[in-house]
Amino acid sequence: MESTKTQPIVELQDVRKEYRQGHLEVQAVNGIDLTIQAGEFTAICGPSGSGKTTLLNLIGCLDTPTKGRVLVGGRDVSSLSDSALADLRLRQIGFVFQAYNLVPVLTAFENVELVLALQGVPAAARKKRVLSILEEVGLLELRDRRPMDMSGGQQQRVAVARAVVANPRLVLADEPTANLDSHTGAALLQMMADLNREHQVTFLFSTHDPMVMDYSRRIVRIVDGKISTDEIKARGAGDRAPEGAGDRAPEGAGDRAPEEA
Amino acid sequence: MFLKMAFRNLWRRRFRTGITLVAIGGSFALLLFFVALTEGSHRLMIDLAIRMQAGHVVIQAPEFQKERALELRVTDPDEVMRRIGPLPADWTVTRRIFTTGLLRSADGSVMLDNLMAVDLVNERKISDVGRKLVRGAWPEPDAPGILIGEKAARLLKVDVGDKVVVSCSGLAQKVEERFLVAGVFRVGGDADRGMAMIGLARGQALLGMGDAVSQLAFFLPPDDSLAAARDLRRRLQGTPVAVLHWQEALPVLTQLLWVDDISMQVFIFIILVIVAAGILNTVLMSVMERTRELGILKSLGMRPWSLFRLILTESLLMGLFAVAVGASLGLPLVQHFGQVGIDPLALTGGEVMEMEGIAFTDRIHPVLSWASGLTLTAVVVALTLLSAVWPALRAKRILPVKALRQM
Repeated sequence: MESTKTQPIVELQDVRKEYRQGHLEVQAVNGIDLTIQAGEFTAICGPSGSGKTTLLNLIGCLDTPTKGRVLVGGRDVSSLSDSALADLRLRQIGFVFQAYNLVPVLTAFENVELVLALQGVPAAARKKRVLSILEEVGLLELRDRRPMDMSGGQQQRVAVARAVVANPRLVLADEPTANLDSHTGAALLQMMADLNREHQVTFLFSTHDPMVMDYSRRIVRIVDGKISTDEIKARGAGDRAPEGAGDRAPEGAGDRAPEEA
Repeated sequence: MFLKMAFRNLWRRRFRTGITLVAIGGSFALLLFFVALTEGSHRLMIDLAIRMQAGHVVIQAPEFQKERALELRVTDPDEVMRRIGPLPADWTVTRRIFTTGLLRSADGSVMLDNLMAVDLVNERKISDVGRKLVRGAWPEPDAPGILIGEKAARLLKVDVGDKVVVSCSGLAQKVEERFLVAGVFRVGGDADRGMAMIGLARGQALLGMGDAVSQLAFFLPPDDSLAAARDLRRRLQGTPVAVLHWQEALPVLTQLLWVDDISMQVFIFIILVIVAAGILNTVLMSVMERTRELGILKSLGMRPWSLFRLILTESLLMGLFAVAVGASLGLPLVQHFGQVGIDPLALTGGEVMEMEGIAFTDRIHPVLSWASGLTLTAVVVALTLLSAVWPALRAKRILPVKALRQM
């Protein structure tokens, strides 16, 4: 892997997460050690209930572990206050959710702008950056539309733009293709693969979609809250092959999906 | 950005926000009108009571306030006026003697519990009686004229030009004198039976008072009255007279106004509690149904206190809109009734409100002072903010991981 020499962006040390469901004590994450290097394009996969979303929430500082340490950018997040965690999420982590989770009252432009506004970036700089990222994800024309006036694929592209607009070190994507058709999903993955390659954004997916795994260069499989396998591939489906050697992406992947109704 | 979000969040449930706005705005309009009506009626009561019974400031013997006896008098009113010095042009001073007596005609008699001998020239400028003559005219200063109430005239079976006899106790002895009815007034209440007015000079002569009077009453712009009372007190320090502000001279009225103010505040408080419950419900519902969305904002990096501020901003905007709606409903109402007035009998169900012998029968003109209007506005806006504090704290405490699990 190219990025092994760089500083780990995420380190999990014997992380455990238990929670109660009624009278039952559920061990969602059961002693995981994991290191994610900057620039990785990694999928955490496993069956439903295996603990992958819980793991992603722990890495994204949305949840705290019952035991063990979570280090993001070298900082142990367990001791941070709510505000400090919010700040860490704001400046270092981007999120892409399965259900897009755009703010319904804001337009595509404003949804992407929101993160920069929270960071206190001046309006003129915000505008420039947002327009540039919207162009990159092919949504410049739809910038004034609100989420309800966009298709699922378009909304998820806005979500990706929102996740990367502030140049975070890490983007966490929880089942990002689950609500998309395969064509739109492939286009979205290609877009993220391009962002990963061109801007060195680290992507970490939680998924059971084979296509996401196909695009990922590292696949961490989880069963019952434990890592069962950790596989590193030479390249993912989204990696552009050297000129003339053809593209390994599945047919249609990387093309812009036709706008959905 | 923040404001834009708050504004749009407010309008995403137009119907619900609309209902809340109308409820808060309607309550605000109602309160504006109620406060204006109270202020208007208080002004009317103060004005009437001052004209009939006192002045904005009065000067009298120190014990006169406790016992309205002839002996308790200002013996040398000219000296008092000389000590005070020149008065502002918009002040009027009238001299009065208050006593009691009996009014007789060939057909009967009535007790006078308020027989006044007044400076007919100056009293005419300020008296309510002059405005409320139903027959006859204000007596000439030198003529033996008397003004009597309509009920007394009916009981005595006399009218303008008829002779009546006033009997009373003078300073030294019982006295009586004939007067000609110059005018008959109707001011409402007991005063129409038990009040009569004669000229000061005749009164002084009849009662053996010399130049003495019971009271010097000063009429001046109402807002200056407290300062004027202080000033007069300072100038008359060391003289055997008391200077009283109307609030001291009319303690029953002052107390009544105070009680009325308290009941108004209780009423306002009750309305505001109901309004606050409405706002709380609306904002809480809005927070609860947006739990997932607020969790998203938090997961994107919005700080807990920023989320708190977002909810407060939404509520503040609602408060400001509501105040605008309320003002646009309430102010024209206040203005309309401020011009045409409201019949007090319509408010009391036909019963004449009377206090210290003064009947309040004049139309009440609601009036809203800037201070009251702005205070009420500030209170309503502050209330919308306060009502949103708890929902905003809930929003602040939302756990993103739990919120994101919600559908």
